[in-house]
Amino acid sequence: METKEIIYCLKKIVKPYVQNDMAFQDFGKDTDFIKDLEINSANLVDIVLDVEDEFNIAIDNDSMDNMLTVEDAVKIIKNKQQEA
Amino acid sequence: MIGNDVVDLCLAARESNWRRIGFLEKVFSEAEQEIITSSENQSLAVWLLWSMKEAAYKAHQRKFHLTRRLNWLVQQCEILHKEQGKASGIVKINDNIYKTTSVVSLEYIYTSAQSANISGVKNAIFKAPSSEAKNQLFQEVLEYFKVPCNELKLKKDEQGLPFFSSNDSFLFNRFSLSGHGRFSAYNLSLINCETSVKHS
Repeated sequence: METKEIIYCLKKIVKPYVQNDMAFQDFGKDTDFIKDLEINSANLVDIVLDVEDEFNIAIDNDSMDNMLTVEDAVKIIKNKQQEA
Repeated sequence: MIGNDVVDLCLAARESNWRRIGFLEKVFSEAEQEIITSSENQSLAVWLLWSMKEAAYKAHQRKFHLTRRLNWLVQQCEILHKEQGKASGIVKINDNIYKTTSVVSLEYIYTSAQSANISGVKNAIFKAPSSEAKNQLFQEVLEYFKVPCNELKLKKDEQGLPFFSSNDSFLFNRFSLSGHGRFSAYNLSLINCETSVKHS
C-alpha cells in the first residue's frame, strides 16, 4: 500500500476521536495523535484496534509503544504488511 | 514525583467501549483482567485501574523525563484496599513503585499517584473545565512561592510536561493537572520543594 493511501485510511479511522478540529484540518505525516489532535488516551486504544481491523494486521506491544504520530503508524502498518 | 488522572464516568461510557474485542488485552494484564471480570461493577473496575495506570505513568514520566509512550501493560496495578468510595493500591513500572489513592464516585474516578519519597500531596477536584483546576493551581503556587503574578508562567518542556517558571527560570514541577469531561483536578506537593524538586 502507498503511504498516501495509508494516510487517507488513517484519517478516516482517527476522525471520530479527534478533539482538536483545527489540527485535524492539517492532518499529515507529522500529525501527533496526542499533542495535535488531543485524542484522549483511552481512544488511542481504539485507534490501535481500528488500525488492526482496517489493515488486517496485529500490532504487538513494542510497536504500539511508539505509535504517537501518523508517520509512526504508517511505518508500523508497512512493516506489518511486509511481514504478512 | 506525582501524577493524577480523572475519568468522567458518563463521558467514558459514551466515548469508550471497553467491551470491544481486544480492548482489555491491549491495556490490562491477565491479573488485572481477573480483577475486572470478578468485579460486581466491571466498568467501574476498568476505569479505576485505568486511572491508576495513567496517574502512575504521569508520575513516572515526570520522574525520568520521558516522552509519552503507548504501553499500558508496562504499568502493573495492584489494588490493596477498597471500600465505599475509596481505593488504594500500587502501580509498578519496571522497578519503580508508585502508591495510588483513588476516589470512586458515581460521576467520576480520581486517582493520585506518588513515588515513595514524596509526602504532603494535596489534591483538588472540580466539577468544572480544566481552566478552573489550572487557575486554582496557579493561585496556590503564587501564594506559596510569593512571586509576582505577572512573572509566574505555566509552561511545557520538550516532552510536553508542564512546569512553572518565574522570570523565565525554572520554579516548580511537582504537580499534575488532569481533565476529562465535566471534571478537572490537580495535585501538588510543596514539601521540601525549594531544595529537591528537580530531582524528586
